[in-house]
Amino acid sequence: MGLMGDLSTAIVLTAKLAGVTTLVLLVMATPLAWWLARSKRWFKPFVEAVTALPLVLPPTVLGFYLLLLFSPDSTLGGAWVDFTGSTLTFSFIGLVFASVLYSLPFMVQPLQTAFEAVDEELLNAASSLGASPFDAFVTVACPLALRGFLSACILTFAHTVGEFGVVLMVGGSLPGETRVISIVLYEYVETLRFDEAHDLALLLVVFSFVVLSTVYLLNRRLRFRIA
Amino acid sequence: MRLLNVVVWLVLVGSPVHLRADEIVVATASNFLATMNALAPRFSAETGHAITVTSGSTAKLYQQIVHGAPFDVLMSADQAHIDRLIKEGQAVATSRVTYARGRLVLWAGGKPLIGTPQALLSDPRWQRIAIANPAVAPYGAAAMQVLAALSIESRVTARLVYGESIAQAHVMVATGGAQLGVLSLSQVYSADPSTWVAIDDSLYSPILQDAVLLNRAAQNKAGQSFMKFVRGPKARKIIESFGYGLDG
Repeated sequence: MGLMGDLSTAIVLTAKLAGVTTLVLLVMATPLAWWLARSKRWFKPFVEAVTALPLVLPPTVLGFYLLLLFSPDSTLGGAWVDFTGSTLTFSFIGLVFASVLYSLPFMVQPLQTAFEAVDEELLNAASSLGASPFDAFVTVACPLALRGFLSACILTFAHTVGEFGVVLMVGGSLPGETRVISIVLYEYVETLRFDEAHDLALLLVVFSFVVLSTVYLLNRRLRFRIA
Repeated sequence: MRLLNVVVWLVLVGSPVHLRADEIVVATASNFLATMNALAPRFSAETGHAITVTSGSTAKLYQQIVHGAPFDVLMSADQAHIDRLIKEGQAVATSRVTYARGRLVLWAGGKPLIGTPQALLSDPRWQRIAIANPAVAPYGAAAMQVLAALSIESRVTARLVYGESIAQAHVMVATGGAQLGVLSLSQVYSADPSTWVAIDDSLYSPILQDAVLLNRAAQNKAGQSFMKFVRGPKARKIIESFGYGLDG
């Protein structure tokens, strides 16, 4: 059956999922983080709360809603089937969708903190020299927030690698499509293949340690909100 | 955590016959959960013992038992895990009983279903077909045997999706993510018979489901009477009413 199949397929798939998710979030979360860092609107705390929801919600909540949302009987799932001919559930693109939601706070929060640390005076100076707000953002704020970008991307990538509950619910364990390494590890344990489980678990511990060490080294002076 | 996600807690205080009722925790394979929930109150009413039901995939329950979970009885979805528990000295070998024989059906989420299993499974109209993961679930392994017996693996395998248990495969079809599922008859038995198509027993080796008393309950009166109850006519009638076979 090849179901327990190729571990390397799962590793490549997981890296691909984490990479695509990080890129999508980089594009989507940067404007949001910038707005959160600069806005003084009364509803800003509510937007912040929504952004942070995936941190506290059980993955089963997200998994349950996504299962219903991805269903061909739902508006989104149905439209997706009409456009692409395939379903969102049990597909790579469905997992990207899920991961973008699941890892959102891990991109937004470090970016927001980095943007908040950008001195308003510098932006004012740029604008008095004739820079548009967008120019000022790209040429002044972004370079200053570089470490924030790095932390955000690394954490988003790592957190997506660590995704399990949502994938278990909407993935369907398809090799090369949705069978990421956390699922492979789960199946190793369930089938009593403890030697392989040990190897993979250790690999993930080492990977996560290296990732977190990198982030903390990067941020020795720049504090951000995710411990 | 799936542990103790379903709790049936019936204590009959003051029953004249059973002044000192015992209690048991029964770990139940997910395919049998609905049946177990029907059996539990009967058992309590009949014996005065309290019973708590917990469920999960057989493989997961096995793991939990090996790591010291406080279960008294395992209602497995297969015989292999019971073999292993007995061999490892975790269960009372003499208490072992085959309590049900599982049956496979095709189900399409409640829509009327017409045709032979061979024709239905081969039909590319069903883009996604949910089965339980054959690596961990007996019903999944049986589903793969059916595909092999019908020689339609090459036409079906690319469209399969795998639930971690037969219960998840059921959810996949119920939510529309998969259009067809190879499920346990017990999951759809109460529905309109036109919504499911039975798969011939000869296409897969019998899914014999065994139960055993675990070591910690070797001296537990409630555990012993539960094992007797499961073999009794009342329990067998209930088990049969959920679509299970009884031979074996």
